[in-house]
Amino acid sequence: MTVQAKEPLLELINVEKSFNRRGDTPLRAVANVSLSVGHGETVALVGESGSGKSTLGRIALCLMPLDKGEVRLAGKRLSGLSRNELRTARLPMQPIFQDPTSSFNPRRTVHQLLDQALVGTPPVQRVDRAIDLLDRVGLKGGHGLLSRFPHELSGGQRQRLAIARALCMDPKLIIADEPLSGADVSIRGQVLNLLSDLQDSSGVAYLMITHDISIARAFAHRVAVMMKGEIVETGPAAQVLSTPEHPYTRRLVAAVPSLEFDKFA
Amino acid sequence: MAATPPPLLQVDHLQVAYRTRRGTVKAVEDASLLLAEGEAVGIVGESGSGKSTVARSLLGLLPRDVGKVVGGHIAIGGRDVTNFGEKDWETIRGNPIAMVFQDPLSFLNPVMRIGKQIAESVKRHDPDANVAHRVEELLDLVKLPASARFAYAHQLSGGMRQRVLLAIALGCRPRLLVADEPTTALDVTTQAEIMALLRDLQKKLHMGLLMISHDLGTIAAACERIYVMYAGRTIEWGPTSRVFGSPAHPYTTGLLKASRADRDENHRFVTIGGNVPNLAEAIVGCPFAPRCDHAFDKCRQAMPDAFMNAPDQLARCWKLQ
Repeated sequence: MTVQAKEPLLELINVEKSFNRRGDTPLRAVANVSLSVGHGETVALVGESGSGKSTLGRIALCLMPLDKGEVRLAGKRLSGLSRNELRTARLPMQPIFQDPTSSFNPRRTVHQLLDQALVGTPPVQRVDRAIDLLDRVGLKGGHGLLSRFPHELSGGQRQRLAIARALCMDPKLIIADEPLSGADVSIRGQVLNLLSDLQDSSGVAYLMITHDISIARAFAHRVAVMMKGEIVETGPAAQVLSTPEHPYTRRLVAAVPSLEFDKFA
Repeated sequence: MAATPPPLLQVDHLQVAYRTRRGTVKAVEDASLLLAEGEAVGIVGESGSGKSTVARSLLGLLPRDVGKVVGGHIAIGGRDVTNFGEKDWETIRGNPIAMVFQDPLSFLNPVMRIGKQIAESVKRHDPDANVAHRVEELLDLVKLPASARFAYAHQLSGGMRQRVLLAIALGCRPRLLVADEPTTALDVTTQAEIMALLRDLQKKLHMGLLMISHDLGTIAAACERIYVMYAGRTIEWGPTSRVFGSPAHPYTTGLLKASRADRDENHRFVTIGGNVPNLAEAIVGCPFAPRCDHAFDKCRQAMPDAFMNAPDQLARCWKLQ
């Protein structure tokens, strides 16, 4: 069974991006890539550092101009929009970054951080909404938590706060760049369960950028493997990452040390 | 009867405390480990488990005036180093014990060619050697081209820099190499290459290897025996195949399932509930008890002794009593 996006939510069509290097030929970070994410679907983008996967994530978020190609969100073309038009057009798409600490203003409290993101909510309802969101991401303790600063939270709590802030706009798509690489093994499952629950309840789609093959295999419906700016293999995550076709994917999968050991009687 | 040689490394009930503005934090409360000549041993644990602190105390590299060994013993090759001063440490650093770190870039001199940095370590520990020849030999050993000696650190990739660090460490001819998260900053394929190289060199040079990582897979791939640390304590140890094949401590079990991104019967990702304990506060009983599904009264009252689960596999868990 192939999991194909019926009605694509995010479409990247033949996108291309090069970076100029001083005294060298431009670096083709993303070369003629097409990728789509369907409603409620989880797509993992895997590859090694320098493969262009984070650049592709930033392209999807329209955080950098394109050389070629276009980005469409729910059928609407985002490339070429003015800054103002873009600001509203991409609201259904929210990012979560690897390091939750550096993506928060350290001088703002949890309340201020969420209030700022709740632009679509009337001011009188924002506190309730903020507490409700914290509750949804498993941060109990409502009011007490609102007056805290990011540095007073644990790593896991900060990542939950980052997810809560992404949820402020009721996104249809969350683009998460290595959301788990800063998290300890024992709390990784908590974050994955939270993301799954949010998908079940709200139908949000994920584009998850990760270098971790085991997470991609366990969590994503579909996977796209990137190498040197190109997508070299794509398909159902379980299939591609268990029986890879492309030599690069094979090498990538083989490099992950096994944790399967025989049980002793 | 010939006396058995002392183990290359013996750590007994080590305790390390850090002085912080908010009082003393016992980063290591009770860590014991053994490593025989030519053996590859791993320490796994999450951040804050005390694994790196253990590693640093083996070379006297705890932050001065802040970190201090406050209990237990460390012996290297049968020699007690617990109360060493800075001068004493300098006699054993490099040889017999050397260390490589997670971030090679911060340990390499950015304005000195690689060859010269390797030569420094050779001159210090091998004064009679033909330096140029030995540098070439070391580069070859870590599978770097001879031309790498003319390069500066910034011109090399992350994997190559880690090889340089390894060459510098091996230049001291250590009997024990401590590797603290040596591949964490690297890509999976590079990671696999460096691990293969480490294992290869450890066998070839019959060198002891103590590898520290939060990544169970890396440790499993390189080490014959492992120690699992939690909240500053070694809580389970034994042959890798045993500990990861049939873990005895509930924490090890949880860690394994979480690492593999396993799902439970309800199709949920396996997690270990709760948080790591605050080491600034005194812990009564087993530090894992508040997060443990199997905990009973005794667990909350006293820290368990080490009980045998299988030959050579021990765990500090009352469940095994």
